Amino acid sequence: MRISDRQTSRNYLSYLEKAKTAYAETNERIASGNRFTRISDDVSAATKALRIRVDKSKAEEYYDNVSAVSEQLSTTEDAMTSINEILGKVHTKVLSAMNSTSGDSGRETLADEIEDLRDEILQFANTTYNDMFVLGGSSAGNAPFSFDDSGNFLYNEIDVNSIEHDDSGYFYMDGTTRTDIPMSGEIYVDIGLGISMTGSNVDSDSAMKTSYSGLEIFGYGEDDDGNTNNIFNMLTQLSENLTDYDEDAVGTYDDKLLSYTETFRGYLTDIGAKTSFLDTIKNRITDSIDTYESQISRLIGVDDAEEASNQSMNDYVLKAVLSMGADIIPVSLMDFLN
Amino acid sequence: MRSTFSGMDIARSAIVVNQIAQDVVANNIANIDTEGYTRQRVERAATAVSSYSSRISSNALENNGTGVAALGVSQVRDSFLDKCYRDENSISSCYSQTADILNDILSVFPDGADITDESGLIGGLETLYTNLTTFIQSPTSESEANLVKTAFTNLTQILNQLDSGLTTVCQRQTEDLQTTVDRTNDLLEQISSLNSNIAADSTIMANSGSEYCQSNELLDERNLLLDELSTYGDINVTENSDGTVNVEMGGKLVVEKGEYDSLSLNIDENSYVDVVWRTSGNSVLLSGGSIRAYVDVINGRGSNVQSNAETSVQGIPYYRDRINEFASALADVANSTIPATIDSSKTITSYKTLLGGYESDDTEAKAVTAGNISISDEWTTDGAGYIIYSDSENVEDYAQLLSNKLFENSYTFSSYGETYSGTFSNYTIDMLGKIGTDVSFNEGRSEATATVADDYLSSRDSVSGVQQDEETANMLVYQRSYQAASRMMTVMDDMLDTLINEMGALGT
Repeated sequence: MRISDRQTSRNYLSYLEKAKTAYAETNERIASGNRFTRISDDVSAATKALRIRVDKSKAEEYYDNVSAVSEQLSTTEDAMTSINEILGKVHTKVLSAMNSTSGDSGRETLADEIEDLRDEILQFANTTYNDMFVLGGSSAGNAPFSFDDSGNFLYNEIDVNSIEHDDSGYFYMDGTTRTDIPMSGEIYVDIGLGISMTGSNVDSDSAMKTSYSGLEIFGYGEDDDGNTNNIFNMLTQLSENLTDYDEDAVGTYDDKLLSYTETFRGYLTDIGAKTSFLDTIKNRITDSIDTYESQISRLIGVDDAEEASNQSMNDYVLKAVLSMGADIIPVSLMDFLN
Repeated sequence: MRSTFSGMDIARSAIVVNQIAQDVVANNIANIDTEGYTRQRVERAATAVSSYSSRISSNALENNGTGVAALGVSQVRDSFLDKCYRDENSISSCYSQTADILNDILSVFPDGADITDESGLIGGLETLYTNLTTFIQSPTSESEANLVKTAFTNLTQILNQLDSGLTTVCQRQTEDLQTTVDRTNDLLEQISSLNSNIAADSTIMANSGSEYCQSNELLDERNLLLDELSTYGDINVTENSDGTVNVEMGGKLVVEKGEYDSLSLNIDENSYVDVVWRTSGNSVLLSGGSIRAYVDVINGRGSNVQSNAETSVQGIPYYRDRINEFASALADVANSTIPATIDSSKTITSYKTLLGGYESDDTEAKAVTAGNISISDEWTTDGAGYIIYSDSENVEDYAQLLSNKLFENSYTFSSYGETYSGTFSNYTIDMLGKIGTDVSFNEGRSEATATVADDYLSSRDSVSGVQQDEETANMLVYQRSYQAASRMMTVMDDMLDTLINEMGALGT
C-alpha cells in the first residue's frame, strides 16, 4: 500500500488527539469523583441514578419528618407526664378534704389548691412545639384551651360540654345546625409507609398521626347523668362542691377523676409505644438512604482503582505517541541523501 | 538516410523532459502539505517521425524512434474514492450536526447536563416536596404556607427558563442554518464559476496541442469545494467532457457547467424553517448533510407531528411540547385540589387557583405553557396564606392531597400524539432520558460514520497524496537520466568530432 505523507501525519494527529482526550477525560473523572455527569454519556445508568435520587430525596424528607415527630412526641410526653403527676396530687387533696377535720375553712383552702392545680394543667394543655399546640389538633395561633368569664371550659371558643363526636368528627349543635369544631382535625405526616388517601382524608394506617386531640385526651360532652366528661370541668366541679361541701357530688366526681386518670395513663403509654416505633422507622430510613447513596455512587461514581490504572496507562500511551511522532514524521529518504 | 544530428536531438528531448519532470517533483514537494493538492506527474510518450501513423511505422531504420516528449502534467486521482468519501461525509456530518444541536438542547436542562444538578425540574420538585411536607405539619401557619408559595414560584421560574432556553437554542440554530445556507450558495457559485474557467482553459489547451492536461490547480480547488459542499448536503458529481462537472444536490441538478441554483431559508410564524430552491421555490429534500440536521431538529416534533412543516425527529418543538405539558399538568393538579367553596352537602363547588398562564400584558392566556406559567394573581394578591383552605377548617388533608397528587400518584400527561403516565419526577426523567438517548445515538452514529469517511479520506490520500520518498526517488531517477542524456550528447559530439575533424585528414 502506498502511504502518503499526508496520511501519516493525519493518522498521527488523530492518535495524538485520542490519547490526549483519554488523558483529559480520566483526569476529569478523578477530579470530579463521577464517572460521568451528562445524561447522554450513559443514559441507562443516568436515568436509574435520577430515579434513585428522587427516592433518596423523599427518604431524606421522611427522616426529617420522623425526627420532627419524635421531638414533638417527646414534648407531648413531657407535658402529659407533668399532667399525670398533677392528677395524682388532686386525688390526694380530694381525699384529705373529705377526711378533713378543719371544717369548711380547711376544705375551702383545698378547693382553692385544686383550682390552682387545674390552672397548672391548663398551662401544660397549651404546650407548644414549633409554634404548634401539641394537644390542640390542627390549632395554630391562639391557644386552643381556655376558660370564659363565667368559668366554662372552652375548646377553640366552644364549650366542651356541648361537644359531641361521630364518624365525621367533632361537632356541636348550634340551635338545630350541626357545626364542626374548628381545628379538631388530625394531622398525619408521611414517614414512608406508602401514604394513601381516601378523598381528601389520609388513611390512618398509611401515615403517622402527629396531632393529639386535646378533646379526646381531656374529655368532652357529658355522661348519661349530665355530668361533665372533661377533666377541667370535673376539677371545677370538685372545687365548687368542696367549697359548698356536697359530699355525694364530691364522691361522684372523685370517682370520675380516678377513672379519667386511668384513661389518661393509657394515652401516656401509647406515646411511649409510638416513640419506640419511630426509632425503628428512623433506623430503617437511615438504612435506605445509605442504600440509595451507595447505588448512586455505584452507577455514576468512579472506580478509583480502575481510574488510577487508566491514568498511568494514558500517561504511557501519550508519551509513546509523542515519541513516535518525533521518530516518524521527519524521516524520509531525503534525510539519507548526501 | 539518417540525419547527421538526429542522435543529438534525441538526447536533447530526454534532457528537456527530465528537466520538466524535475520541476514537477519540485512542485509536488513544495505542495506536500497543501490542502487539497493532488500529486502530479509528467505524461510522457516516445516520439516518432510520423505522427499520424504508428510509432514504428516501418522497419526503415531512419524512421526509428526520435526521443521522448512531455505531453503534459496530469493529476493522480480516483474519482470513485471522491464519491465514496463525499457520500459518507454527508451522512456523517448529518449525524454530527444532529448530535450538536441535541446537545445544545440537552444543555438547556440543568439536570440533563449534570444529573447531580439541583437547579433543574427535578431539583425544583424536590424543593416543592420538602416545603409542602413542612407545611403539612403546620397546616395553618402562614409562614409555612409561604414556603410552598416560594417553591411553586421557583418551579414556574424553572419552566420559564427552560422555555426561553429552548427559544434561544432555536434562534441560535436558525442563525447557524442561515450561515450554512449562505455558505452553500457561495460554494455553488464558486463551483460553477470554476467550471467556466476550467472549460475555457481546456479549450485553450486543446488548441495548443496539450489536450491531456487541464488546469490542475483549478481542479484541486473545485474538489475541495465539492468536499465541503458534501458536508452540507448529499451530492452527486458527474464529469463532462470539457472538464466541467454537474452537481446534483438532494437529487436535484444544482450546478450545470457554468449555471447554478441556490438555496433560500424561509422561517414561518411558528419558527419552523424551510430551505427551498430559489428558482422553483420547492423544499430542498436532502438525505444527508448538516442542512438536513438543522431542518430536522428545528422542526422536529417527534410523535406529536401536526403538520407537514414538522418532522418526526424529537427536536426543539418536541421538547417544548414536553415542558408545556409539564406546566399544564402542574397547573391542572394545583388548581383542582384545594377547595374554594363547599356547598352544604360537603361537595366541593370550586377550587382555588394556584397557578395560571399570563401573557406579557398580564392578561390570562388561553392555555398554560412553560413560557407563561406563574403563581396565580389570586395567590399573589391574597398572600401566601391563600392556600390555607380556611383558618377554621381542616386544611391539612388538602395539603397532603396536593403532595400526593404531585409526588405519589400517577398523572396521565398527554400532548397531541403522545401520552405518558407517571409522577412528575418520572415524567421529567423520561424526558431527559429521551434526549440523552438521542444525543448518545447520534454521537455514536457520527463517530462510526466519521471513521468510515476517514478511511476513504485515507484511501484517497494514499492515491493522491505526495510521498516524499517517492519524490526523492524520482528526483534521483530524473537526475541520473538527465546525466545519462547529457553524457549521450557528449558521446554524440565525440562521434561527430570523429566525422568532422578526423575524416579525410588521413596522413595530414
